[in-house]
Amino acid sequence: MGYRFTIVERNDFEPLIISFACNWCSYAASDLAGTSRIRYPPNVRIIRVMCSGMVDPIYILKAFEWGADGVLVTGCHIGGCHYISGNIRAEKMIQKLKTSLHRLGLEDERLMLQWISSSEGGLFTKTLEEMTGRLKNIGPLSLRRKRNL
Amino acid sequence: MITEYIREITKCVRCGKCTVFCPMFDKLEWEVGAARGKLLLALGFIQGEVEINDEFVKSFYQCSTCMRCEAECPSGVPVINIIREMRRTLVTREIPIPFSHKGMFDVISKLTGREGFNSKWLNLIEGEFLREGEVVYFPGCLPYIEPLLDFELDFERTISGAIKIFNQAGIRPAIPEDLRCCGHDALWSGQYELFNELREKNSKILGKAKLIVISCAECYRTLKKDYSLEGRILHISEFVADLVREGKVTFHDPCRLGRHMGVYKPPRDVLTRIASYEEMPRSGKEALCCGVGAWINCNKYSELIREERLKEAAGVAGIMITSCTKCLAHFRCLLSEPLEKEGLPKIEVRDFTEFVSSNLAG
Repeated sequence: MGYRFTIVERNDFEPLIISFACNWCSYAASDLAGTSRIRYPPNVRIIRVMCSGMVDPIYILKAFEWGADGVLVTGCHIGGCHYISGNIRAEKMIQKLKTSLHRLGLEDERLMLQWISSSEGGLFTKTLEEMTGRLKNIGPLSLRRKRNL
Repeated sequence: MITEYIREITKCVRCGKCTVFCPMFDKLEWEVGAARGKLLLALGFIQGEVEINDEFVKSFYQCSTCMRCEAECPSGVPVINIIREMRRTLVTREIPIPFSHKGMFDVISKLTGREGFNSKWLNLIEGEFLREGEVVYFPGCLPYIEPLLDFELDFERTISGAIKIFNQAGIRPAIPEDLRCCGHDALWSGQYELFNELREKNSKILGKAKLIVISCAECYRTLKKDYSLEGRILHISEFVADLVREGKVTFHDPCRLGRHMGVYKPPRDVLTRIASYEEMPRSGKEALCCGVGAWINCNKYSELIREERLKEAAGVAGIMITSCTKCLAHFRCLLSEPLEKEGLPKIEVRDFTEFVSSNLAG
């Protein structure tokens, strides 16, 4: 099923971040970061969706179930959604999911929502730098599945 | 294994009582929507004559396992266990479970089973409670599922309310931080490994608890029937009923007052006005004797009658009032030394005069 486990005894913990990026804005921004040759940490796996509003809680929950250390949901700025209000839907969903995940003991920094427009390649990389740094500090997901090594 | 249930499945005589009462069948009108049809499918499957297809899977999951069928079955077929076992068979063949809400709650249940899980909502609960203790309140997964729904479930009010009930009874219950999901859904969807994992982890935490009180009916059934815990497990309604019962009084008609002299009403006229009164099953003319009349021949036969009367009283109230010195003495004698190993009935015996005077204003 794709369970991932991290080796925690060593000091070189590299967090795994799953990012959902909307086709029209934030995914384009990630493309721009690439073509502009801006360096950013390789810890992220970007999943393109048509709109941040189509990100369902189950995608994020499955990401954590399968061992992701962090999930970054990105989309257009409010008012700039290609589908008008998809990002508002995403914002509401993330609020509710954050409450539930917080109560489960998941650190708040692990789920992040960031609006990034298609021209903001730099904001994309900056967000990832910061998130990777924060996750390196707080360590691997405590809710990961332990395997006997 | 579903094959272990072959004898139970063949007990079905096709009477159709299950089908008549099944709430799902009432709406679906599929023969396999009710127990009789499902048992036929199961039998066919075991015998190798029925293959698993979409209809088969739909039949076994389109059932809420409400147990009406089993309750009505005159042949005693353990229907819901068979349905659960068939779901288990489907899971072992990697047939996807048709979760609702896209399987969100299944993932949440799994996450509570992880090593690093810890409840972080206890700060929202009001009242006095501990992190560990002999009396445990099992909160279930209400705190985690409520935010994901579009309507409220009154989570803070429910759990704080439970703590308040305990505090009123003078108890400070414990809500351990690392209690997992009870695993009910894992069990009923056929995910036995997940259920065993959750049961094992919860049993370690609840192993030393003497009393566990639960608000959720599904958690209650799971902890009481599907776990093997040492402690006493009560649904919150049973727990509160016990508390309510403790606050009630009942009247034991002394034989010489009641049957000999016909005085039944006056004590009740008084007691119903000054306390929360409840009648015993055998009262008035049918009242059970305390076991002795005059200081004659009090032996084990008398004691057996007496114990039965006290148990009857304990079943309806916390205080039994009587107005005969002989009765009072004999009841209190028994309460000062238990007869059987199971201990004393939880009942206090008081004299009518003493009780009434102590309840008078001023």
